[in-house]
Amino acid sequence: MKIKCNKEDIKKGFHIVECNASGSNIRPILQNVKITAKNNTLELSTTDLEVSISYVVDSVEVIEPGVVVCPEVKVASIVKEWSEDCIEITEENRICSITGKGSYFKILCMDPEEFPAIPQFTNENYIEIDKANLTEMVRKTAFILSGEKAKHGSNGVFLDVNKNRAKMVANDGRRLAEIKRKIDNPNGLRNSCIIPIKGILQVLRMLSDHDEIIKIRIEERRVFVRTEKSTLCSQLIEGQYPEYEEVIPTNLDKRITLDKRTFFSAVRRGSVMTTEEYKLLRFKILENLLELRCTSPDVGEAKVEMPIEYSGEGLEIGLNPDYILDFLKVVDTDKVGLELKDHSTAGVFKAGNDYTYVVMPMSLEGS
Amino acid sequence: MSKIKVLPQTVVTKIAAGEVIERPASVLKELIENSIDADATRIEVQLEDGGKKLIKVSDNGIGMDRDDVELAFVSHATSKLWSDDDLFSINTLGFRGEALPSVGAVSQARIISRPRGTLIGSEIQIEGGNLHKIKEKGAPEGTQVEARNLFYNTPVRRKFLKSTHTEMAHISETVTRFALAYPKIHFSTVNNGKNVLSLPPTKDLKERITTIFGDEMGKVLITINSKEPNVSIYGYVLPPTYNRPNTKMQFVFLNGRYIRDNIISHAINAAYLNLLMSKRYPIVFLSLQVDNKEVDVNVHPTKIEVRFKNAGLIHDQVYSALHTALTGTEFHSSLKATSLPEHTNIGTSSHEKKESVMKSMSDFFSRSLENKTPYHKDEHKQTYFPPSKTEHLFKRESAFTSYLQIHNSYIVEETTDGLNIIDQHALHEIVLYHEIWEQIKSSKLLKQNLLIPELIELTPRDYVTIMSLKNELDTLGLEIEEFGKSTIAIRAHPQILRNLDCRELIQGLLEEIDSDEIKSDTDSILRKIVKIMACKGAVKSGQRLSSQEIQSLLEKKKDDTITSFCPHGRPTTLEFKISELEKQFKRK
Ligand SMILES: Nc1ncnc2c1ncn2[C@@H]1O[C@H](COP(=O)(O)OP(=O)(O)OP(=O)(O)O)[C@@H](O)[C@H]1O
Ligand SMILES: [Mg+2]
Repeated sequence: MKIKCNKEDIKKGFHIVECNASGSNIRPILQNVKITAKNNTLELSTTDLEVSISYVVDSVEVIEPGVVVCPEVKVASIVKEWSEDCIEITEENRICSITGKGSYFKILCMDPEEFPAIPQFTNENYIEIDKANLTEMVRKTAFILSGEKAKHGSNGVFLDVNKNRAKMVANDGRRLAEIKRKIDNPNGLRNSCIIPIKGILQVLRMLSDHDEIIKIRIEERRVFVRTEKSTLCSQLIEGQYPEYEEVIPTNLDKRITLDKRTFFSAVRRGSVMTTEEYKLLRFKILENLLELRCTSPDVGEAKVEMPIEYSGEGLEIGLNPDYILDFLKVVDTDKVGLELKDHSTAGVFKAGNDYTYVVMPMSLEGS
Repeated sequence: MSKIKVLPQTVVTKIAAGEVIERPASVLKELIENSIDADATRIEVQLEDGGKKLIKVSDNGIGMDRDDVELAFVSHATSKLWSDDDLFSINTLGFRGEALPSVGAVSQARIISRPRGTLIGSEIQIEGGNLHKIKEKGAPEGTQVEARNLFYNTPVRRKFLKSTHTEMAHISETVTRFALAYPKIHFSTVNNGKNVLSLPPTKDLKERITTIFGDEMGKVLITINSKEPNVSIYGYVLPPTYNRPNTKMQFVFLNGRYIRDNIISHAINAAYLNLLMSKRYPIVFLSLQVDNKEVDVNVHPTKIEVRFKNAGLIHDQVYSALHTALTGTEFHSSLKATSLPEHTNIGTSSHEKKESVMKSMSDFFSRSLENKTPYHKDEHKQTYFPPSKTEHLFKRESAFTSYLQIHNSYIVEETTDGLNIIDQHALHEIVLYHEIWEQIKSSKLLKQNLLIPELIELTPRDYVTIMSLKNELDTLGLEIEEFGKSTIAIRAHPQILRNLDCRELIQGLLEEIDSDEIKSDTDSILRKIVKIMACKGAVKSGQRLSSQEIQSLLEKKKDDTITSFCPHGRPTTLEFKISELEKQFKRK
């Protein structure tokens, strides 16, 4: 193999395929990148068998096509620090050489045969979605799962495609987020899948900074997400996603609208006294007043008031303030709606169009 | 001056009667009791074939005169009890006048005795209950009682005697009990001419424990001392790292008598509850002095069981004496913690122990040098430097906040005079355990309800077991509900256990709780469940922790005096002193 190409392009590629396979106890071959040179392109691929990701660098001068498999971290750091505009990569007898004007690197390569096959995207039966929409969907759901260590409920994000809308849902058993966005679905596909959190977070990484249309193709055991230059393929979590719609309460009679900033700061101040062991913030809705209270056995107590517009029946409910803050952090509207029924029914937050966040309350044993 | 009298029938009927001779060790027990009652300071035990052929006890006690010797083998003849009133104020180990006749009925027995200060002794023999004529006999001051060919006249029972080895095991257990109860008495035991246990007089219980069980145990004894008007408790207990799979190493003496008592055992185990794994038992040596009026020893023919007038008070006093002593003790001294493997064979010399401390330390450091990246360079780098000034402002007492996580399992923490190595799982486990308990006790248990209940399918049998725990689990904030055939739905869990994997918890419960245990008292079952919850809810070994998580864990370690051991009784922290390191590096 022998190629020449622009440094910036290949650098971006390495950024996207990077560290997909790094980590501790995985097979050594998975810490390599596969570089394939053909038809004026260079394809970089990495995989950890669960999630694989490839990036195609184009306008490459392929002098001699070929395939090399070499340590991803090494090549990536060479490329990132490259000072010249042009970079030349050759491979001969399992030695990959990267050469510039004043420097050269020779890296020992692996047998390309040993590298696992990278699933190929089939260019049919896919849906299309705007990059901004996809980003938003992932960002507003996946946060529920990203910090958690235990697997309450499903450790994956549910993606449901129907006619011209896609729905993404995440839950950790205690809270749930659902977001719906428009898609292009020329074939009128109806499909759904559960994407592991690892795969979905990788999607966020690979979405480029400019606007583009993204293709998603759901297969039986895997899902492809494809941008113009990169393709991600993730294994799916098998099984049925819970009938989550049933647990979202509907007949909620107490509705308030909150100013996001004020509410965020009130919750944050109110929760100063909570501890990891005692994460309870009591939300009390009174006439035109929201009162947040926390009495922490080991620390102290806090009360924060916030004016609201409300004239219905009063109510008190205990919620984990972290769950509220997590939600408010991803919201980008100025107002959020909150709908409640009683102290034991889940509270439903709404922010903007078609974004719902449901939080199950806590109860105090013995009170 | 004959002292022994035959008890009137009215008294005899009030005495707890029954078979007392089961095996050589039971004969020996009766004979040693008699010697102790006779004020002996030196008791020699001579055996042949583990007592099956010969049991002989010689003492230097007050002895018996001719009349007494003649009556000693007579049923219900005793010098220790006069009327039935005395039954409620027994100061001696014997009181029934039954032991010697029982021995005489099933063996070929002989007494030779010369009272202190007299010139001539007497001898009497008995064979299968047939008393021979009394004779004069030259003898040393004191008494010698021998029993040959036990059960020679009841072949069936003789057949039930075990191997010499087994019988010897029972014999040494018996001698050990007396030796602990009477540290000042000289005991020696010889079997087939071979010395098996020789215990010269010691000044106190501690010294006796050390001579029997070794220096190492002697060094870590925790003193127990508790005095109440009618009950005083004195003795020693061991830190929880020394534990046993059974209660054989729990020696409880009541007024000099070895006893087995459920109430006291319960109190002992309760005091160690947080500190030991289930089915492991602590080692204790407790001597109770209880006013005779407060206890009835006339309950069981072998006198091993007693009845307290006020059992509740005794229980509480034992419990609180032990509890106070245990919580007041710092277990995690570096020596104790680092020589863990040795705890199985008590008795290694202090020299060997030192060696092993050195070895474990050098092992530790050579290992971390080999692994060039013992810590995570990117994430903990900042914390590896000494704390900044602002941190000082907030936590005055913590001049040491340097730590690093190694192998995703242990936290190394710098201390003022060395370093601690902390088992993250064990520490978090005990912290959670106490926090859950605290919340339950103060009815501040927070419960997170689940939006989507977690369904767990079980075998029908496991299903029944779990459902029978429903109320207990409810109390602990884990709400379960039936969900069709042998499936349970988890509806809520304690907020504190947000990392809990409910499936794992249910599995853990099924593994550790037997269905018959469920009927036992709620408190202990609750504690057991909390233990399992803490274990399953705690961070795992191999789990990467963020620096906040580490900090909050270390913070909690300081708060609590009882975090040195995880609920399973394993230590959470190993301490290394800088002085030891300096020695190790040959700087000193
Ligand atoms: N080693 C001894 N030294 C002095 N007197 C003894 C000795 N052994 C037995 N005696 C005397 O013989 C009596 C009978 O002993 P025996 O063991 O049969 O009954 P006991 O000790 O009174 O009651 P128990 O049946 O509860 O043991 C004792 O009361 C005691 O006076
Ligand atoms: Mg006796």
